[in-house]
Amino acid sequence: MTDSLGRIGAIAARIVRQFRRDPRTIALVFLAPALVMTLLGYVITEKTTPVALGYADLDEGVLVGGRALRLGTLLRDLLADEGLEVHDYADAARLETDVRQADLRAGVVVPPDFTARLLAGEGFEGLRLLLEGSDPVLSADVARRFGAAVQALPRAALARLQATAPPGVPPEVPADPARLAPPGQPAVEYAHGGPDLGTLSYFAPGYVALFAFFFTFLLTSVSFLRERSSGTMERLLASPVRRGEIVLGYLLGFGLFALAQSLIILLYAVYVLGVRLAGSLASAFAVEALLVAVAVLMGIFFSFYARNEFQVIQFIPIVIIPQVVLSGFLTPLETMHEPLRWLAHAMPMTYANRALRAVMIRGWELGTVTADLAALAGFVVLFTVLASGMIKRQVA
Amino acid sequence: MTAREPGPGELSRMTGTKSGGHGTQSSRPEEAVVAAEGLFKTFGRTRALHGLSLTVRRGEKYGLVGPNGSGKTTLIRAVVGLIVPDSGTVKVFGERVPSAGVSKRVGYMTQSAALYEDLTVRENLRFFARLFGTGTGRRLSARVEETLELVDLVDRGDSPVRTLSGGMRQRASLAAALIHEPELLLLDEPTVGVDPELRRALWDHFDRLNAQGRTFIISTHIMDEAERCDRVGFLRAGRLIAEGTPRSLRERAGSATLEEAYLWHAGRSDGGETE
Repeated sequence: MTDSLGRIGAIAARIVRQFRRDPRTIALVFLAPALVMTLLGYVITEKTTPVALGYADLDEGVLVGGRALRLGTLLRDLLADEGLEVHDYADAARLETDVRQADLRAGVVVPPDFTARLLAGEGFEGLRLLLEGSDPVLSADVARRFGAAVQALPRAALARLQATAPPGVPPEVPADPARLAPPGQPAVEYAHGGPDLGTLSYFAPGYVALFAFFFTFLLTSVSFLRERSSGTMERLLASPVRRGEIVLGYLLGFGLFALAQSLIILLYAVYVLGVRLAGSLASAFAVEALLVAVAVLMGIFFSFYARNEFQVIQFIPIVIIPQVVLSGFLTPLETMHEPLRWLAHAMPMTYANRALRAVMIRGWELGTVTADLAALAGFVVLFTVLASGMIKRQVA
Repeated sequence: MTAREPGPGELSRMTGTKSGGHGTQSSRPEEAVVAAEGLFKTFGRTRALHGLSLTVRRGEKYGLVGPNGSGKTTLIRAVVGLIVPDSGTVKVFGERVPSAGVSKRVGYMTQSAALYEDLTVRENLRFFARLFGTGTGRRLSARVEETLELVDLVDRGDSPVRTLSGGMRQRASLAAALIHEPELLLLDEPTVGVDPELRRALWDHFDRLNAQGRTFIISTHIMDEAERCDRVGFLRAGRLIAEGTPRSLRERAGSATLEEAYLWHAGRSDGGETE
């Protein structure tokens, strides 16, 4: 038993020593994820240049108590409040042309009878939002802001009416203000996160998992491959070391680096990029530890299917990208086709993503994500057996 | 694994020129260190071993001679326990291989250096010493220094392996095979790609270790090297076609060189006659 631990320790220590001799790889492992996360943070964060919105305001308004009331102007202000950069257009045809030619991503056409119809209780009949439409993310974003501005309009209009109109309701104003602004608003409540939860906070758990898996898998694979191609594997197998001990030694050696990497990524994301961490760092770290273990073991297993480093690189589209696509990192599992969902559940990243999101966004503790942890532990056992089996097969 | 005390008649040899430095693990001098019986092994369609039997006695320097593909490497790997033969048995020190107990007493060296390139020679040796359980702390360091001295690499002990010349790598590789003081050394073409001067130096190392009582099995296809062995086995197509001292092999064939002797024995074996 002590002999066995000594041999496992010797292999782990050797891996750490080899790592220390390779500053470039160390830089790659520790700095690259932080750099990529920072770039993503800048790209994803919503505080970017506002989208330009063409605005053709044809509203003629109505006279209220001798004064002109133009709700089109009010809507313009509300759109600007929503963070859109409003550019005025004199006619609708120019606006339509510009949107079609992609000079503008979006435009709004306000009909001449906009205010009149609204006051008559006919709602927003005739109001049009034109979207260029080739970028669904952008389209959805503009549509959301437009919707919010439109929804805010009746209340704002009522406030303006009450402020401008002289005492005694003029006959042009509808007798029932409720037709303009219904008193009851639906309540929207968030169980976790809230309307201010940033996109980066949503994606960060996935990135943390992806980086850990990606680097650990590739480094282990290449390292194990070299063990075979340089002949040192023959020496190991000719020594009293057992196959399981080799696997455990690798797990320990690479696990140490991968965990250090995970910790740095986590801390960087939370404290530098301001990613939400509602749960405890220890819980997030525990999930990472399991995922990293799976990555080391899969790295060993798959290295037997590669003859050289170039073939290890070929595992990126085979092993890693499917996990990125299907693990719920980009699209929620719930919206996938049934067979794809089954496939997703055969991938360790799926469970790691789900558990990490639960911990980081919902603030759940490990006790609440036991099913995901159990699945990851299952992968650890499975690939320990498979990896040890591969070493055996090489010998026979 | 049971340690056996040498019998009275064997003491003279044990304490003679080839006295062993292997403590309690000494076996009878005449006892077979390696006993392989009826080995068959096929890889896909290639027949690597075809009913091969081999016995190597303690303190012997046994040369395996044959062309590429004659089964030398397969035989050595079977003795190390790296491959399991399709049929037949391999016993080393009386124990079936693979066995952890046996592997502690066996040193194995291949034609490639098989060391960690980024690590220094010392670090490589320390690593393998720890795998073989060669003590810890000061004892381990002492063992590493001893081994470095043995292969004349003390000066280069702190050089990364990747910076060593071909000959130094080969010596470092030998050191890694010797780190745990094995009684049996299996060297698979240890001098391939090595210049004649260094080849001679390596063989001087082998002779010195052999004089300490270590048993050697060395594969080669260089006949000069085979001449330096106590006994030589000629391998052909996975069979042992002839064996004996280099001299007896030459005399039987009536030829001046081992090379001619090999061809003569090979011709005889093709004629359907075996020894």
